[in-house]
Amino acid sequence: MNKLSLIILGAAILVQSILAPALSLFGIIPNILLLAVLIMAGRDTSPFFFIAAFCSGFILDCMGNGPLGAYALLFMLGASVSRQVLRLMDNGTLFMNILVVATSVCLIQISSVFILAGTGMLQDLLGALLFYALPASLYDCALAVILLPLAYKFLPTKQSSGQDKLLHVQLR
Amino acid sequence: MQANVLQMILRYGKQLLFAILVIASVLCINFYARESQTGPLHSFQQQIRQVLSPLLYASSGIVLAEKNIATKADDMLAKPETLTALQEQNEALRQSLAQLEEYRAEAQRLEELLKLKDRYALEGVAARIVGRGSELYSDDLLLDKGSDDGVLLGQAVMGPTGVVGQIIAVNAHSSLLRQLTSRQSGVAVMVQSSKVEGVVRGSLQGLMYLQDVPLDAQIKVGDVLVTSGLGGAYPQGLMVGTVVSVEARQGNAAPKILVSKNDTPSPLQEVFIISTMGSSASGKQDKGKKEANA
Repeated sequence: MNKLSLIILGAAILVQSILAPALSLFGIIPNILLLAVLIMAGRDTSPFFFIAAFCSGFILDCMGNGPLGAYALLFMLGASVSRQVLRLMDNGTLFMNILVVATSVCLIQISSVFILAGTGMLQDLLGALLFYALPASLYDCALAVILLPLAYKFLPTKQSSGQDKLLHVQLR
Repeated sequence: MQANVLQMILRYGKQLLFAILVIASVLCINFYARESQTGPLHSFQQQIRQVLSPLLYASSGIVLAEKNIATKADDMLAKPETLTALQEQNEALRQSLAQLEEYRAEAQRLEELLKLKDRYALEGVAARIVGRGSELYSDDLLLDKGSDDGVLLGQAVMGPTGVVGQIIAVNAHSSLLRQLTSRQSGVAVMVQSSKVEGVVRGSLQGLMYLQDVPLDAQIKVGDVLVTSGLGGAYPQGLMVGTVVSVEARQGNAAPKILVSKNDTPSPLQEVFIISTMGSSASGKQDKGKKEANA
């Protein structure tokens, strides 16, 4: 993992806890940490980025009242899958990045509602999908459309650090 | 043999770690869902929230700053000469007036809380709403009083005119209020006039519904709902809300009864966290009625 990713994720945790409640729209708080993880998943080429995604999700779990491990799992799977999709399509255009991040955001928000329902913390599944997952996904997608071009401009796709490369070679 | 195992671990280290984290997450979710509110995972989550509570305080400051910026933006849209004249006119008075207005509003709110406290013979602690909970999709509110001030988990919270919710998490210097309109809220109530009992539940849309009432019960628009005291979560006789619509359904299905909330807590408003209730409010009201009749 490169240091820049860790700094950005650290900053995203602070923004999520301090700034995000102030950005709530109709009671929906944006999931800035999720966006940061998905954006960095496409920019950071380290094979161990999923650990950072897991830790970010776990911190978000700790900050809320939902089940511990839910966002950790979803962040890790989301980051890994979106990275694989980008790699398989071999298409690094901004549009494709936005498409992948937006799709991942929607799937993660919907999955989080299903996990809540599965653990018995949510009774009205349809209502949660309509009133929580859908608006939250739209809000996050709108933010992704703003943030991704900035990331594209200012955060070059960096190769993983020497230490990571060495570890990767050792593992291979 | 051992060397082979070690080599395999090294080769598939990434996949192995990924699988371990997936399994750990799933187990974590499973244990969290099964354990009680005092279980180790819930306690751990609460400890972390306690550590992060200063950040939540900071977020409430940002909300205030945001309001100030919005006011400034409104000022910028006004005509410059008008704005200057108004600014000169108001400059001397603005600070003191704002301060006095704040004191007056605060005094009024506290007076209403005191009246409420006297009316229901409540014991507890007054707290101020200082921010929102950080959980996504929730309208929980952060209060500035915690376990050091005697706040306990599950205590009922009242606004100036009635019940507003319940304490769901307590830290040393702060606590989290779950509003009645929250999807996870439920309060046992009775109709004040007919004594019909039911449960008021919150919903995803932020509306409250009266449910579990007997099918033959006559519920009318305007009926006042008070807590029944069943379940022990809320003391008996506290005002919850008023019935605003009764929508009949086909067949024998129970009608859909919409309840308007009695009070809407807002940031920096004071609320009262109830620890004990001296005597039944309904008893007091009955006594009051008898005195009035006499």
